[in-house]
Amino acid sequence: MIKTIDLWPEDIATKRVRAPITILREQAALLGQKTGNLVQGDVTSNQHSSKDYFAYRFYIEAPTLDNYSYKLFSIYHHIDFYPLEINTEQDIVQEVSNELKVGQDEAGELTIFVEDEEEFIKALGLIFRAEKTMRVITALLSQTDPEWNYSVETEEEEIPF
Amino acid sequence: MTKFLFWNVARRNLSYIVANLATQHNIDVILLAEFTADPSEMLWRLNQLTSRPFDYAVSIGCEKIHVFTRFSRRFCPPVYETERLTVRHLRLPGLTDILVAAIHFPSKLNWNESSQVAESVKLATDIHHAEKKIGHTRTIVVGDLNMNPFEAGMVNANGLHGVMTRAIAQKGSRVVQGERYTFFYNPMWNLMGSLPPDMPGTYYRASSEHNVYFWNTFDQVLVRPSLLAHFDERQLEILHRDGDMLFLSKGGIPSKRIASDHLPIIFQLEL
Repeated sequence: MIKTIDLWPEDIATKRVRAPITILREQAALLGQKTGNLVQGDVTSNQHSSKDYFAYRFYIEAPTLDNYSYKLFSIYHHIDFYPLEINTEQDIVQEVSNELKVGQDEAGELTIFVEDEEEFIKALGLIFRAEKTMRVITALLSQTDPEWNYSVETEEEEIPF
Repeated sequence: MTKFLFWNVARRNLSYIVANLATQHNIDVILLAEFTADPSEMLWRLNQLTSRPFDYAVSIGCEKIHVFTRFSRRFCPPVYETERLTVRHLRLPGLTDILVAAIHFPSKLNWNESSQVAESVKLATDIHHAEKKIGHTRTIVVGDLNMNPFEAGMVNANGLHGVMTRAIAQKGSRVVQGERYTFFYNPMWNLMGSLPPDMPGTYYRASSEHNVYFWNTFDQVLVRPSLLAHFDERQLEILHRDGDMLFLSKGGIPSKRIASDHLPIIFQLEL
């Protein structure tokens, strides 16, 4: 009887690479934990993903504020995860451009390019700390805090004219 | 009747003119692009001229569009936003609730047509996302689209899919390569060209290249099929004066020295 030779590498089942979507979902969940679920993250697959081109969107959401949702960024990658593109607000791209590789995508928009998981995680950290991101989250938290009375009139200012 | 005004005010403080227009036309919802003035000044001007006070319906994530409403902002909360888009869930008591998607689309000064087409696909996805969240498609899109009604980004099925007649829009949607795309009715097609008394467009630009339209209709409103029964395109207007003041130069084009290089549009919905 001819003996079967196993030609597969020994470590085939042990090599694991975290998919970008997994990292995004982790971060989405962490946002909720940090804010008592007043503000949450959500990740959806872009309806224009195709068989070998994947696109996802990351949202900041406030379930108790009319289920408000803000699209923070989108990511695009092929089947092998990296390199990967991050498309976000131009203000945020400008803010992080000193620390990340920024170029123009096919539409001519400034985009963040990352080569591997380490760069992706670094990019996410910078985006989450960006001024605009913090402004949105702060605004949502101030409006969803149960202590905050939405109907309180602001103090009238004397109009000088 | 709920009346809307949209205007790209070109970073000029036109609060007095906006307030005049709001009073003259009994506007309920004011949407402004390139608004850099103080919202509290705008509110003060609006509320000087009316007994029904306006409110400032602040956006959270979108800094490109400012919304003032002749009712509490609680009835017009933002439900979905991006950098350039604010989608408001307009829920007036006893009336049909709708989505108002107000957008300031990237300009041709910075983007070519291909880029605008690519971005229109993202905009369509954003609108679809908001509609899915809210659970209906009673949506209007309004704003400075920086595209004419006939351009690819406005027409493409996977873009805004704006069609020129009610009859086509009333079919609801169509299938292209196995995917279904919902229509928008684009009533702005009715307003293009030089038949008086209407203006030929909302924005004028001349240049020395071969392909020039001169008059463009960048500032638009689009209506989903499910809202067609609530919309009368005969009430859609491009305004060129506020009664006292003409917004046009002697040459008859919108003047930034007088008001803005865009003309405002008004329309209404029977909700």
